[in-house]
Amino acid sequence: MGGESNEGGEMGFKHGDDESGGISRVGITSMPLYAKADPFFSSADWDPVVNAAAAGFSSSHYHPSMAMDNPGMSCFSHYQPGSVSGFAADMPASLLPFGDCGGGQIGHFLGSDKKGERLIRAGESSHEDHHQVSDDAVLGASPVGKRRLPEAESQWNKKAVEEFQEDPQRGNDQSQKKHKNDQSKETVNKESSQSEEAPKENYIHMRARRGQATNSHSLAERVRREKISERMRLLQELVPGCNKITGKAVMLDEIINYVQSLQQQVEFLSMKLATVNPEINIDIDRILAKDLLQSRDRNTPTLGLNPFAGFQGNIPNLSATTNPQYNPLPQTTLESELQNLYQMGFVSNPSTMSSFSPNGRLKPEL
Amino acid sequence: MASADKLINTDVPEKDVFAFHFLQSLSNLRKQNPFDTPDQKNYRVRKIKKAAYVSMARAAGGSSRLWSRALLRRADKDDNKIVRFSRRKWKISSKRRRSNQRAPVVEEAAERLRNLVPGGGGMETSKLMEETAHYIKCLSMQVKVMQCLVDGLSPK
Repeated sequence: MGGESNEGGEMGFKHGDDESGGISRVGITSMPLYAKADPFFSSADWDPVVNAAAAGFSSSHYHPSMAMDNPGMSCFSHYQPGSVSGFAADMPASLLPFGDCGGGQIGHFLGSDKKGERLIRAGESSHEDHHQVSDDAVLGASPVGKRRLPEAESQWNKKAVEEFQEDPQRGNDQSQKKHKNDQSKETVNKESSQSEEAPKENYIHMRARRGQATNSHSLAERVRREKISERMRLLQELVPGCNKITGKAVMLDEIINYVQSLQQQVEFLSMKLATVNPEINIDIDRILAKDLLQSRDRNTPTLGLNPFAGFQGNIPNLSATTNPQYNPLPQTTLESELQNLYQMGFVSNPSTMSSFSPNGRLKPEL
Repeated sequence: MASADKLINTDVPEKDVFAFHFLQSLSNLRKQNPFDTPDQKNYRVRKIKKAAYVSMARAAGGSSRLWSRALLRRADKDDNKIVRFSRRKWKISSKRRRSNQRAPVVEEAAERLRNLVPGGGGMETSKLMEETAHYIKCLSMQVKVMQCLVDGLSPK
């Protein structure tokens, strides 16, 4: 198909002409204003031109092609205002269904598919010889013009135009009423993106196949949904028992329950800690040492990343001396470590820093 | 916590970092309030809970995360109150949701999640999910640390 990466309004028309030259360009550039000014004007105007062409009015070779183009341009200028934004971005990918539909529409518009295609091909495919073009166009146009009466033809045209206006809402993806289509399409997209975690190529292919929901809003909406579902997958791995659940709502409920249970657990544990807190005085250091020893067995390299230089430097002493029995020596080392931490400017807690004088007051309470 | 700043996505510092921060804030707490009188139990529980959250937020990277920043800000703000989670821009998010008519079930659940995660009121939904993932990791880590503490202390 010829001009593929062009604007949306001229797509179906471009489908019709294969690598068309100046003639179809004339039709394209001259027609939209003409057809946009009055959509039914061209269809009403169609019959005299065809009749004139059938009667041998082919001295100016642009007229037959325009006569060919009248139905097509009136069709596509109908939905051109609706599908302006974002349509040109995905035009090459979404060409095929669109172009097929456009060709089918033109043919359908002209009454019979073969005849319509033959008309268009004859009118615009061979552009090296203008006279031949006009002759072919006249030959192709004449059976259609002869077969129907002019008034019946105009009625047929109007009917076809209306049919085309209704057609996108039913099956095709091109429509001038974009918003309705977008909503239904978004639900469809949501289902599909929910069911299958589409990789990037598949995602693009899906968008191309639909061809329509490519304005910026639905694109952004789709990106947002992708992000949300990706994060949901991330959350699904975290929350236990969430793997078997399909369905976002149930999963979110499960996540909420989990967060709530964790917060309640924190509250419960802090209650417990409050009860044991009075006799915590020395034990904190013990537990701290124990915790550090337990966790140090697994992640020695990760401690090296931490800014606790003095902290991890003293740990081997702890593990060497204090693990079997808790003698008072490690506590004093821990105290000094805490003081070291405070003195080296542990900046992530300024409030405690301000209310806390490091040297004198920590020692008697520990 | 410079190390936590550089961690990608929802990685979480190790357990000893949480333990260290929590014990540190506990010792601070004990320094400030000796807890001699037993009738202050509720107060003590609140203090410890707040210390747990704040130390968790600090261990999780200070202000690099939205939820930890919100938690720390809230904790600085009301030093004597319970740690509550603000929902600052709730109206904006709900209006946006209503105008676009998104999937109502997911958005409603996300709205409930916004009340749970600190600072979640102003987040977009995808950001909320990410922060929730990190928050869950940190919270479970904190729970482990506290459980360890309680287990270590209770036999006494």
